[in-house]
Amino acid sequence: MGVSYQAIGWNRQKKQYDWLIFGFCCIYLSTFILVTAIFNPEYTFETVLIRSTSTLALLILHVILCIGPLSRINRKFLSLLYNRRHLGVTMFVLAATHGIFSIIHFHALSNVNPLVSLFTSNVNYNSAGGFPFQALGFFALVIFFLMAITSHDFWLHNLSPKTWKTLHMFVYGAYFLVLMHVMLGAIQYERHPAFVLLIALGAAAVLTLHLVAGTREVKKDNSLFDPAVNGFVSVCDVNEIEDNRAKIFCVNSERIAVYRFGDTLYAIHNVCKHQGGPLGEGKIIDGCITCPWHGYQYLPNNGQSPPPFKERVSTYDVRIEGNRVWLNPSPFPEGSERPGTVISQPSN
Amino acid sequence: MTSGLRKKHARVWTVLLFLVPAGIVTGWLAIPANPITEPAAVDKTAALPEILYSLQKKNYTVNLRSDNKRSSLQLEWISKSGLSSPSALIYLASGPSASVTSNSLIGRIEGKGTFYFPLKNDLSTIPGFILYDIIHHQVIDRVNF
Ligand code: HEM
Ligand code: FES
Repeated sequence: MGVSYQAIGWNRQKKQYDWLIFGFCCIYLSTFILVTAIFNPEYTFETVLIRSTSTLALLILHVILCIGPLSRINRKFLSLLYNRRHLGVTMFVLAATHGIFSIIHFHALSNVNPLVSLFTSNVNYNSAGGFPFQALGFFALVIFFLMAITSHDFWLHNLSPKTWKTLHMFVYGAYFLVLMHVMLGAIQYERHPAFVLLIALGAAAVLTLHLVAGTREVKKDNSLFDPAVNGFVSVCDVNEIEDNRAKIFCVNSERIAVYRFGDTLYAIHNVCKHQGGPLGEGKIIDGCITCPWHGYQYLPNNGQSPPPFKERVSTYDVRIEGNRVWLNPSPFPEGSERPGTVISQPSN
Repeated sequence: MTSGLRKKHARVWTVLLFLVPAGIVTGWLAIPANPITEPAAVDKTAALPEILYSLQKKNYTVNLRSDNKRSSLQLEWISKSGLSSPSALIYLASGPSASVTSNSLIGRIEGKGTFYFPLKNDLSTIPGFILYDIIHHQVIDRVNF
């Protein structure tokens, strides 16, 4: 965790983002309601509420899914990543409003329990066109609910980052459920081709971004190094690493960040203990390697978070010969003190 | 991300790369071929002058209208309160227990209000109607004059 987490002012930025999200939601919902009131005055308020919240939730879901790959492709989007969690909770609140109002509106007027009615009022489970699409929305909502209530860091620590991340990967399944909820539901009777086109464009954007970001990562990880000499692999020239920054090398399928701090190079494991953020894409702030995702900090010489925090990452040995940087990919136990290596003739 | 998590992401997105387009295409192909439920089927032109038949129900009034030459026929549907099913479709019924078919779809009504639908001008039999709940795939009511 970072001591200067508060001080670097990211929390002010976070508040601004929250206001931005809130403002955007208000504008979207009121525009939707106003336009419907003008063009379709016969619609009831519940219908408008159901449709405005659902379409906004769908829009935000697309944004959420694009932030990850976008921030891999361009660092400018990292600030969005920092605030993705609040966007997720907002999306859940909107989707829940839509879901709850749908259940009340479509199922509460009969004498059957609304939740039973949701699953039994239409049992055409073997047809595409008449498929009980609401069940799909329901399961997506359950996933969003679990993600929203576990979104706090308290749960991250309690469930362990691995379980937490796995749970949060269910968002991809939920995305598919929502997509089918709309394709087999509203699209079947709002037949305007523009709706199908919008859904298809959204899906194309999400898929393409993930594909591009993914292939880039694979390419990075597959860069080849000459065979190790005495356990050390030649990775780059000294002057390729800027001061207070790092370069990431994937050796034996594990990523290692080689940081330059003043005239010394240090190597630590690239994976942040918080949520697996890429430490090598952060920078050194106040003498600490600072994770670009949420600001956890680690000392370059031992991979330990400064007290009172207790996170530790593995450290590695690094060496300079001539102008070349050599890295030993065997990790030292997490938090091990390593001296780093001094750049004898500063190269810039 | 750890290498394990990267692999998981790669696997999930490889699956989605096929599943998502397949899902969209399936949904698209499943859209019924006949023009159904265009809210635009609400004919916003004024009501035809004569009421041939009229039926009062608890929540709505249904009128069959025509002009004085009997050259065109129109269904007027006045919903007094919101229906228990907000998106209901109206189908033409060929008999008292006819079922719905996509050829017989007339239009959709939403909530409160008055809706007009042009009908094919054939008064050889008095048309009946089925009010159908698209969400639950259930007949809500039948209208026989
Ligand atoms: C308990 C859960 C849910 C239920 C019962 C439910 C029910 C419905 C119903 C009945 C419709 C058709 C509404 C109409 O024709 O006016 C609909 C449409 C839609 N739903 Fe859901 N839904 C649920 C969850 C979700 C979730 C989690 C999302 C995710 C964002 C979502 C997104 C949409 C969208 C985008 C539409 C199309 C626009 C619209 O007609 O409102 N739904 N849903
Ligand atoms: S601070 Fe959250 S992943 Fe590093």
